[in-house]
Amino acid sequence: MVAPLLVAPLLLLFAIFFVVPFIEIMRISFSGQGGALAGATWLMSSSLFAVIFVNTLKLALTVTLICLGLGYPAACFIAGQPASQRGIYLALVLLPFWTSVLVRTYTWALVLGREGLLNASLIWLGLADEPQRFMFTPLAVHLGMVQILLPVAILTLVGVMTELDPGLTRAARVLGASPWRAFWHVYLPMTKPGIVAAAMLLFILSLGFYITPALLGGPRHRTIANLIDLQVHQMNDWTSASAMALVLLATTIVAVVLLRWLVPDRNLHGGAR
Amino acid sequence: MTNMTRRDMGRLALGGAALAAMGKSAHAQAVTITVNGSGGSLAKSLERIYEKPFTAETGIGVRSTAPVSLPKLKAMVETGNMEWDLTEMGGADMIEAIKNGWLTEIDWSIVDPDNKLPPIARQKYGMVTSTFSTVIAYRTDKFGGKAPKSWADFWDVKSFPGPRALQDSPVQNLEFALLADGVPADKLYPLDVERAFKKLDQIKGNVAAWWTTGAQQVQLLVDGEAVMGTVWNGRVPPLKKEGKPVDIIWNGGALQLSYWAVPKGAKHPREAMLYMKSRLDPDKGAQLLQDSPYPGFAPGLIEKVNPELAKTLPIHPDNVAVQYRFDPDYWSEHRQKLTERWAAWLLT
Amino acid sequence: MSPRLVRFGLGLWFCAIVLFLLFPLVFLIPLSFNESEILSFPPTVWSLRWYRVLFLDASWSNALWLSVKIGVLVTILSLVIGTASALAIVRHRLPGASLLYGLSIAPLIVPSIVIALGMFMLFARLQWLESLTTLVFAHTVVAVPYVIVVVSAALRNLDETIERAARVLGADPWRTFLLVTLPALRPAILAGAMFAFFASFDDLVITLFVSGAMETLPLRIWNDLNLRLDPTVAAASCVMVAMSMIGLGIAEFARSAGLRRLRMENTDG
Repeated sequence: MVAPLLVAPLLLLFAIFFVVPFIEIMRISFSGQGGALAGATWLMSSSLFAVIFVNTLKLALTVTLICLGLGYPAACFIAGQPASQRGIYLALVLLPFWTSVLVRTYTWALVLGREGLLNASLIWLGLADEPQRFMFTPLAVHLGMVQILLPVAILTLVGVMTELDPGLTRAARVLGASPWRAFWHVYLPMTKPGIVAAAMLLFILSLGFYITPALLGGPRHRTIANLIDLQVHQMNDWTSASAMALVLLATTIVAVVLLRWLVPDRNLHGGAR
Repeated sequence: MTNMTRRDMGRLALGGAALAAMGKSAHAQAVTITVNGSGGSLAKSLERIYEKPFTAETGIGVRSTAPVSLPKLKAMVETGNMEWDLTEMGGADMIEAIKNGWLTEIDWSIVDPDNKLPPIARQKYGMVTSTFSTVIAYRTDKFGGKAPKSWADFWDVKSFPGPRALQDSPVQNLEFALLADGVPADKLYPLDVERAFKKLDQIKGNVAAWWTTGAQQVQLLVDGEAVMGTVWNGRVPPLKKEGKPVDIIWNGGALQLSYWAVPKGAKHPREAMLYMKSRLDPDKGAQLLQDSPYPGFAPGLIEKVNPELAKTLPIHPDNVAVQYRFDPDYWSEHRQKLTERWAAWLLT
Repeated sequence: MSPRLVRFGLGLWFCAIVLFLLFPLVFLIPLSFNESEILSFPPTVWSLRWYRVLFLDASWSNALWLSVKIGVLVTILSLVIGTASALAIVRHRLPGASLLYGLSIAPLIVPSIVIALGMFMLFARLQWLESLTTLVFAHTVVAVPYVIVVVSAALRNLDETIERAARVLGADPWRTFLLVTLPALRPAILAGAMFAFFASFDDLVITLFVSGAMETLPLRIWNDLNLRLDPTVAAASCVMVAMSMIGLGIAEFARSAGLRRLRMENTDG
């Protein structure tokens, strides 16, 4: 009874500010020059799209995994602190957010440049004889994206970990499980919903990344979002741009469904605890 | 009905804000025009030099918006809700807009009644507001005292070793490649695309960075990411003054024009054109040049500028002589196909 | 491996992560005090030039203020709408809950340039452009998914039996939510609030199309970026970080002072 009331504001908001604009753009894309299927035809025939699409998926996947790997232990640490102190640690993780993504990306350029800090240190330490190229490499893109998305991973994980009953892990230890076994068989499975939520969020966000790949990766490491922007701004071709947006949307939906299928969620499917 | 009220209320609020901003010198403002430009740090100079005096003189308020965007213009024309009364536009965008019928004809009896502008600045749908050049910039400390002189030197990585930077766009880069390959500046168009890409293949491995924003161009040089690259002419002089080891060469630069245009459906075209007229004042133009070395063709402007500064302007006769004239017509027609080819070429 | 060793290892790891996250910020401080027109490192001449610009140039301070204002409004809206939806999706077994969840995160997937263009076309026709309300709602669309994702993950993990127990013991749904569910969700809601705020605070593309002449901080930076990256940006970032740290310090001080008083009262009494 209450449920429809609870979602009503969301549906109203999305109807006006998301669905209708989205339909508007689709309408335009299908009524563009070259007929309703011009966009689709371009997608099918363009090798450019295929290559960039695969690159984008790969990038999103690696960034997601790196963020989870780096973020999980950090989240464990925060969740293990007394509740009164967690706020401080979370705030530390969130500090970078106060700086615009644009600015953070530019500062990476100063670090990674040929005469940047990293190269200077490498040469000073004798690890390199001449400046290495770090800018406009996959490394630069990954660094920039991980720096931006890592707080998202940590925050999402902490949100779930702090609600766990620490008694369960302790019980396992008391009953003689090694720390590793207690972690692997009790703690990790309990945090699964958090991992799934974080993975999904990270993957989705990485798919749509725009500024960081453009500034740190350059045109040789374009993502779909960069290509859409190129279509709209340089090529004046909204038809293909909307077609690509649709493909991106479909990909994400497939990814979300796949993840839900791989890691079934107890509550959503009505399973009892 | 509700629509009307909302619009009226919006106007009222806008007027109120403008009045509040004007403080005590509140003029009875009949109209406020919306002028769309590139914004940023230049907006303040423009306000001081042109907009405030214009309002004081005519009673017409000026509200400036940014940035210049062709997709936005297209969307505004197609929905029949034109926010801008006047907008800045690049050459190729201009032609695209004319082709699609997004602009209003300029009434030259308002803007330039005495016919003082040179014909190049007086076009059917636009007035040249400024000129700028894409030129080679290089690090003066990297070649042992030698200085590159031409596009051939840009391609010559043996005599001038080090990474290069180019814009991420086929526009102009194809021309530069052809110039490097020995095509004379007046025989560039129509471009020999195959030959240009073949020449670009030679330099591709040495291009460390493909820039996309104006902020990047010099940043790349200063960071040492590239020792030679393309920049807009106005970016380098302030850095040179600061003592940074950078300089530009005019030879083989791309001389380009940007325009003022009145979009179709603009609500106050007459007032917008009056404002265009005010932009032709040579004294004010000379003031603006202090902050932004991109001169227009305001009659008498060059005479007002000190010779030292004049030498750094794209339209100084010495500089014009060595540059080529960029052809926006060609690019308006071929940009879409060539951009796609360019993007694919970069991936291989 | 003793638990203490594990805890020490985790602490070390956490420090490394924070260092990595703060790395670019450490650079911004010297950059913001550098006289040069361009971001360069190390600084040559120190000056307060860019801080002067930030505080004296109304276009910067207005942009900063507008961004904060919009961010706060968006956060409040997103929390209310998002938490309510998460409850409906997870707790109330709504038919098509999976679908609804999919829809609710869709705005994160569709590249913002596409949403932005769509919004622009629609709002241009409705004459909704250039209003604070429109901008706040537009940002809420991309902010609310964060709240939904984080809060519903927490809800799924929350033991429902406690809520049921409260209901059985006679609490009405609203009281159950306020006294049982909400306190348990606090960390997740806080996280969601942070995400929502920054989703708005850092949004560029949607603002670019919807805001008309209103200039938020990212837009101010972007409009400059076409010509140059002004070190004012570095100064603005430093001010923001400093402000958030001071706020944090005050909150922490107030909290510990409160604790101490509580403890003292306890011992006195």
